[in-house]
Parts: sequence; structure tokens; C-alpha cells
Amino acid sequence: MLAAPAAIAAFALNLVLGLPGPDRAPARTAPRFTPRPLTAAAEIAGINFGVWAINHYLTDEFYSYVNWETMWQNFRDGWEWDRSQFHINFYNHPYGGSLFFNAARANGLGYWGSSLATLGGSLMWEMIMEKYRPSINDLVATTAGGCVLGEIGHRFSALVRKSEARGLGRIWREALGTVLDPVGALNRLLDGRKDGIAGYPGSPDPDRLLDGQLVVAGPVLIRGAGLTGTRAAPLLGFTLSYGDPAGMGWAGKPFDVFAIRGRFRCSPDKPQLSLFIDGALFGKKLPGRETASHFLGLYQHFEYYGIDTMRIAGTSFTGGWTSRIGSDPGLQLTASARLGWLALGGSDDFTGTTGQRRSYNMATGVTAAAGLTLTARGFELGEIVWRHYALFNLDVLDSLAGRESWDILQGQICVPVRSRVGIGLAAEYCSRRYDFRDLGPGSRNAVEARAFVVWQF
Amino acid sequence: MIAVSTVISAIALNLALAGVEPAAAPALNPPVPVRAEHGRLPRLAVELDSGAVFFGEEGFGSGWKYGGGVFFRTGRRTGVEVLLEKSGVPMEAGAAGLPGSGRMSMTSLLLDGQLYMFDNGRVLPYALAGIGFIFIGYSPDVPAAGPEMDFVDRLALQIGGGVVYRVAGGLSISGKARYNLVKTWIEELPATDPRRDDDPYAQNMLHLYGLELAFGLRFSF
Repeated sequence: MLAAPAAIAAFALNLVLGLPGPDRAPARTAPRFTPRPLTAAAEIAGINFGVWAINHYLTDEFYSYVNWETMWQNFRDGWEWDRSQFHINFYNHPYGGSLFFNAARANGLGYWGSSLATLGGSLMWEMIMEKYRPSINDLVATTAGGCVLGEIGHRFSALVRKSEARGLGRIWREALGTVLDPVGALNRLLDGRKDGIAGYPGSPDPDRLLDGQLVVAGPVLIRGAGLTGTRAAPLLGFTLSYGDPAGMGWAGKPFDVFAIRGRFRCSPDKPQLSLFIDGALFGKKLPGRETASHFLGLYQHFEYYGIDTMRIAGTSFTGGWTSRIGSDPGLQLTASARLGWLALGGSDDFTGTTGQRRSYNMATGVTAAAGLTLTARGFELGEIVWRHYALFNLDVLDSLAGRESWDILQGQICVPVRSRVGIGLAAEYCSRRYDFRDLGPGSRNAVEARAFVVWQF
Repeated sequence: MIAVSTVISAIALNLALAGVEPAAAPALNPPVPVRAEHGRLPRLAVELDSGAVFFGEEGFGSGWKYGGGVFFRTGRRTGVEVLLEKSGVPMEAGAAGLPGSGRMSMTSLLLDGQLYMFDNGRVLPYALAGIGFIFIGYSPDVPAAGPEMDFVDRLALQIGGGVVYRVAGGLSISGKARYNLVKTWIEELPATDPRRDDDPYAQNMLHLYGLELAFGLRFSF
């Protein structure tokens, strides 16, 4: 189907760009994994068929009633902006894309080849597996978001696995690897886990740097008047830094360096997920004086943010740098800045009336971010991060045309209490100024502060 | 009589050992096991089969089906088969909400994935799952005065299993049991355009889940 030529093209692109799987440089005599673009294409088609079957036979979705006529009419009638809900378009679609991406990754294609295969999988879904007209925003969100989620899942699963693990240790490692990269795990199962073969996709990758922290925050201490969520709800957050943001782990391949900041937070209606992910696509380590290190990169972002009823999500590409000054175990200061293009964004439509299917605005725009982190003896004492989104809302069906400006400021300070455990205070401020064509200008703000316990590793 | 019992014994032994590797050929250094090549999944095969089809939906009878397909091996124990099949069953008056009796015909263009239990042997059982276009036609026994009616064609799943028994050379006999899972409805013609404007929830949904039992011949290349 559509996925097959895409996967073959992906393979060709992969060869042209010389970017095979994550693990290169084997011994010359060792057996090497050979990429399988056709198998990847078949798996991507199989994923689409499987998702369609669930939609059609188990959940009986309206859009799953397809036949050759709907397919032909989709080609005939062309593209549109769809009206699915916020989390479907900005989380579910990227997650679906990550399965396509990992099908390609698990069969030996590199990042760029897998990206093209993800595009093929998304095209197949949009053109023939739904009776709705193909959606431009779904194609962008599935492909761009899928690459980010898929690559980090692929990388993390390789980090979790361990060749020498046996018994219970192997079970939990492979199980966690399956959660992170389900398609890769299925391929390992079918292949019989060939970790000994050089370049085998998903093989353990134990040498990567991984820093992070896990945060559990208690009840709200301070809250803006406009917020409506419960004060008692706990918050679970995490930060993961793969490969060192200042470029120590950069080996020249996309996502050798990336960072994730996520949290589950209770919003008024349901638990709310926030995810900020940025990974370097291209980069260069710059020489620094003595204990300083610098990294200049072109980054791909996946953003999905919510505080109370204020939500913004999107996929963007930025240029930026990260610098670290100071040496471990002494004081270290890490600073970073990004500026770029928000390719496709969505912001909640707080004016939406009941009955409207879409409750958010489609946008493109400019994004910027900056951060400062202070670390002592490997323990993060404080951090402040600012993000800015200048949205140009598109004049499409059910979207409020106009302009928006979002600023999100997050800061925290903490002190170590015992070993890698600490306590601290975190504050967050979100501001949204808008000027919609039909409503005129206005603004909304949210502010919140919490106490938290953190485990850093 | 001795000759007959010998032949019967040979056949019985042959059946008992179907799918079992023969003893390794004597070798000196090192002993290398020899795998039987008979019954191995062919790279390419053509299959023709025929059988019966039964529908569970009220008012639909049973009928015959026939068809053929081309099989391609994709792995040691996997393959895909592209099939074109046709079947037809009688419909009683009242079936699918139609006033009179008639006949439903179904033409299927399917892509089946097959997973074999063994990669070698005379007897090769397998499970299958497929997807394909189902073109469904309706013809009343007595033409009605009202608008012409027809079923809406569908994309549908097929699941089941089968077995292939190698008889000789490239010739095998096959048996299949498959379950077609078609969800559709009957509509007045001309059909809606665009088709996406159909509201499936407003239709008299028919679950044409049909069991197909078929036997056929497979010619391997």
C-alpha cells in the first residue's frame, strides 16, 4: 500500500544520508543486521489494519466504515483540517506515529528513513483507513510527533535492556522495554532477541548518559484566582536528560542528545499530561575553556502543555545552544536558549460552544525558550525555564483566527535532604494574551506554587 | 497379502512420520543432520479451492463458494496470499428488512497473512488473518416495484486457519476454515456521494459474519 513505497524510499534515503541504526562500527567479521524496509512497510500496514480493526469491530467508530468508494473519494476530494479533539490530534496521533516509526526503527532503518516511513504510515491511514477526508494537521502531528515519541521510546528501551540480564531482571527490563517501544519488542520476540548481531535494533545501549529527577508534589500552596482545579491533588513529575544537553553524548546522530520534562497533574475534569521534549537533529560540540562545554544544535520539539483549562500543544523546530560552566562535583551552571518555528500548534478554545467538536485553535508561529540550571555535587539546586509561543491562528473551520502570545515560566529550588533525595518549592506562571478577529483582545493568566519531594539520579 | 500389508504399513508409517525429520544420513566427521526438503513452504504457489459458506444473520441461507489465490512465502513460517473469491447465498423474505426473497452474492479481494506452525513437513497447519474488499450484490427473486436496493460494499477482516498436505512434488491438497467479518447494510440506489456522508449508526446494520469451509489444490513452484 502507501506504506511500502514510503519504506523503500526511506531505506534509500537512509543509505544516501548514511544514517543506519543507532549502533554502528561493529567488528568486520561479526554478523551485521541487514535493514528490512519491506518488513517495516508490512508492519506499518499491519499496525494500520490492526488499529482499524479495533475501531471497526470493538469500538464501532463512525469513521471506520470504509470501502473502496471512501478511499477513492478521499483521493478525489483531497485534504482538509480535521475537527478531532485536542488530545486525539496532539497526543494520540503522535503516539500512533511513534508505532510506525518504531516499526521502521526495529527493522534497521535510521532516524531519517524511519521518519519517511512514518510519513508513509500516516498517509496510508489518512487516505484509506478512515472515511473522513485526509487531514493535513493529522499528517503533520502524526509524522513530526511520531518521530519524536518513537525515537525516544527506541532509545530508552535500548537503555533499559541488558544483555546479561537473566530471570526476573530480564523480565522487568524486557517488559519495560516493551512499554517504551512495543513494536520493537514484538520484533525482538519474533526474531528471538539477537543482541549479539551488530546493529541489531533495540539492542542494549548501556553507555549512554542519563540524568533525571522524579518529583512528587503535594497540595497547592498558592493559586491564581482564575484556576479551578482541586488544591489537594498531588502532582507527579519527571525530568530526563539523555546524552547530556551540553553535548558530551553527541555522536552525530539525531536524538543522541534530548531532554524530556513531563508531569501528570489533576485538572478540573481529568488528569492532565504535560510533555516538553526536545532532541538535537544536528549539532556541533564547541570547544570551551577548561571546565566549560558548549553545544550548538538544531532541535525538534514535541510540546503538550496544560495547566487547568489552559492548553497548548504543537510540534516545532528550533536552533539553539546549551552551555555548561563548572565541573562536577563543584558548582555547575547550565544555560540554554532556543528560537524557531512552531510548525503546527493548537491552543484551547475557551469560547467554544457546546456541540462543537473541536475545542481548540489551529496555529503556526514562532517559539522561543531559555533555561538556567544550577547544580552542586551533582544535585540540582535550582532551575528556571521560560517558554514563549507567538501563535498565528489559522482561519480554518472551528478555529478562532487571530494572534496569541503565550508565556510559560517554571521555576524550582530544592535542597538535598538525604543522599539523592531533596525537598523544594516549585512555582509556575502561564500567561496567554490574544487578539481574535471575532472577539477582540484579552488575556488569561494562571499561577500556582507547590512544595515537592524529589529524587535525583 | 504380504505385499498389501507391507504397503499399508508403509502408508501408516509415512503418515505417522509426516512432518518429522528423517534420520541423519551416515556421515563421518562431523555428523551433519539432513533436513527433509519435502513439504517446505514454497516461494510461490497457486491455490484453487471451493466449499460451502454459512451466514449467521437471520434469513440468510448457506451456499457455495469458489476462488483462487497466489501464495508468496515471506519468511520461514510466514506467507501472504492474495485471493479472489466468489460466493452466493439465498435470502428469505424479511432478511435484511427486505420484503421479498432474493440472493446475495459476495466477491472478495483479500490479502491474507499466514503463520505456519512448522517450516517443514508433509502436513503444514497454519493460522491466517486477512483484510480485503468485499463487494456485495443483491438480486431479488421477483423484481420489486420500488427503488433498486443493494448492499454497501465494505472493507472487512477475515480470520481462520487451514492445513496443507503435500501429495507429491509440487502438488498439495488444502483445507481452510475462515470466518468473514462483514458489517454492512442495504441501501436504496443511487448510492450516497460522497460515501462518507453515510451515517452507519442510522442504518439497519447487518453482521454478515460468515463461516467458509473449503478444500482445494495448491500448485507450488
